[in-house]
Amino acid sequence: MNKKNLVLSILSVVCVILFPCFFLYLQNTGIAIFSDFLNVAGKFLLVGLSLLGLSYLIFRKIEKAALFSNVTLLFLLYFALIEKAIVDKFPMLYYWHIALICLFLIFQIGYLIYNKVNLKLANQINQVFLFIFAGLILFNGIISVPKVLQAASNKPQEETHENVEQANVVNNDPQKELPNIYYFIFDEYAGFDSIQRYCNYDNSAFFDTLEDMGFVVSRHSLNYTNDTYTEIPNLLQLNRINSPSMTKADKQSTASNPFLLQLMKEHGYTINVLDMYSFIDLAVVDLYWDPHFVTTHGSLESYVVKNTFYYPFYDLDGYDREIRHRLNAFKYSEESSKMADSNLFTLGMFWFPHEPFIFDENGNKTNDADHSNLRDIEPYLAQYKYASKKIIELATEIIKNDPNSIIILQSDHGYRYPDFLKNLYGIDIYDMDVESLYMRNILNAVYYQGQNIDIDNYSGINTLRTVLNKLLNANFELIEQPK
Amino acid sequence: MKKIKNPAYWLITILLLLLFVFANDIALAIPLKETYQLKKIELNKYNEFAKNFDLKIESIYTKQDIFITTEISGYALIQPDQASPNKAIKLVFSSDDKRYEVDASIIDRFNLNSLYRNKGIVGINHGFITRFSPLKMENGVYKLYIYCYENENTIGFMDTNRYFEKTYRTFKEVKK
Repeated sequence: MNKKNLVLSILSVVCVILFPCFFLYLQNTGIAIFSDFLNVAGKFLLVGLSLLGLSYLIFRKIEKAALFSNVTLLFLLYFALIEKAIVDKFPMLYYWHIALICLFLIFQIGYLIYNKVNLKLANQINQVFLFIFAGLILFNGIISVPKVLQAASNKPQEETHENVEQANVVNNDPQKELPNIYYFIFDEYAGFDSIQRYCNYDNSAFFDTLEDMGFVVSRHSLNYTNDTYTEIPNLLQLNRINSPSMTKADKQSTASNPFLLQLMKEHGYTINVLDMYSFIDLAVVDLYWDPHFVTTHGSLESYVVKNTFYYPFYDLDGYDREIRHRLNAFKYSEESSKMADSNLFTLGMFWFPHEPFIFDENGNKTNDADHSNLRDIEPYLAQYKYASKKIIELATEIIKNDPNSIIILQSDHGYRYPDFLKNLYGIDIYDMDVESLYMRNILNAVYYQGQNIDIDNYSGINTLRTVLNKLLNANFELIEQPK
Repeated sequence: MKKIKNPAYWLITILLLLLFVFANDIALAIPLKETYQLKKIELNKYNEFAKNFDLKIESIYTKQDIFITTEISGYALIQPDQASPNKAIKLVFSSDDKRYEVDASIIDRFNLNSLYRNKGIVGINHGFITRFSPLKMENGVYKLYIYCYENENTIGFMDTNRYFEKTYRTFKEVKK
């Protein structure tokens, strides 16, 4: 066996199988996580090399085996695209028909390679595969360099420790009994103005109910950005550490052991965390919700697999699990109000009512076609209404079990409808400067043992600072309000 | 051009072609977990049982999988005067010239107790749920009927007045 041909053959298969992973990772530089890339690339590589091994058993020549593998991989990796092209012309054909057509073609090509193609020609075709796919990987790598450099230049600011000293919050009596605190963040829960503007929906009933329960509600509060991975870590750091231009990994890292949790721990709180984003390092918390669930929705793997022949079999009950996951999260949050009489800090970060839109307004599951439908307002509005019901239920249960507690309900940003239309569907009908205010209009409500507290128009961070000042006799200055 | 004489080649080629021709029947005959199969029936089957009874279609959910799996649930009951351990509910989709039926699982519905109490209904096994692929249906608009069997003497077949349109790629409720 010619060593050069062996290396070339294997490399060509490696480049063909890894190109979709590289493509999606590099196209999403700063958003995609490198460990996710390694995970999916590892699985794909295993499939590619296994196919090469099996092909070698049939063809007995590495050049022919690699050529057959490369051709087969093209069918397997881009199956959904092939299917779409054929079905557009022949709508009566289904997945299994296309699978059989592909199988037929693979068989014919395999027969041809076995009988008609000599080693030299096979090697030359493999070189073409290598040249094209390695070139494409390189090309995508080069065009992602500016994004990498930009992300690298936007590191988180180091401001956390100044806060501790300035705010005079060092605790001298960690044994002091303090009320339980429940801090919940609901991703993409639109504030009063946001839902009114984009869905023409008056959510007064929800806010009035909260007020009747003893909450102080700020209907017009804004946050600083409409990016979850910027806002949630900033809320947990009580400061603007992250900026939207940082990489997702950098943004995420600033929330792993945030200042808020350190502060509460220092004041004798037991830390109880429900984290749907894997922001928090569980080693730094005392209690946590363990859902035994890893979402595949929106993952790099799901996007890569979406185009392959395997797509109908990928994560078949994914959305049923998503439904159970969210309902269990609410259940755990309610149960948290029975865990301790005092000094329990519960932090719940809900990926909800953010898409996927899996609930209608009555909590029934929605059709698959609605799950990622960001173009129409109806799926969001339905899930938003259901989220409102669940939030009221949650707050009611906590106040019933723990009336002396503090409950903070916030969202990271409002409903980003104009953003979705523009960036996902190319519909540019809104003035984004104007809409930015509405897309950043958040849920912001505080139950402070039924007492009054002034949070009117405050950002999420300033609301937290205000609550902590009152609770800990601290002196956090309010930071600049969002504009 | 040189002819291919290898019999294995022709065997596999013909096998693939045969599979292609019967692909729909083979794919739709695969038994899937918790999924019933749609059957074509005579156009007037069950008509003799036509009567009104209590029924409600509570949810209709269509997956975008390769079978367009559709889940329909609700409840149906014909005021039996005794428990109906052999209760059966079928969903029947009917167009001008085609009729299909699909079985449903019977489920206990404790939350319908208040309704049962008011009407003096016996038993709680009046809920149903079914999952099926509509791909076997010919394209067109179908009206949904419910066939409900409580016992030998209590059988009903009722028009829900709800319509569904089946195309090659969709199966959805439509207004008519």
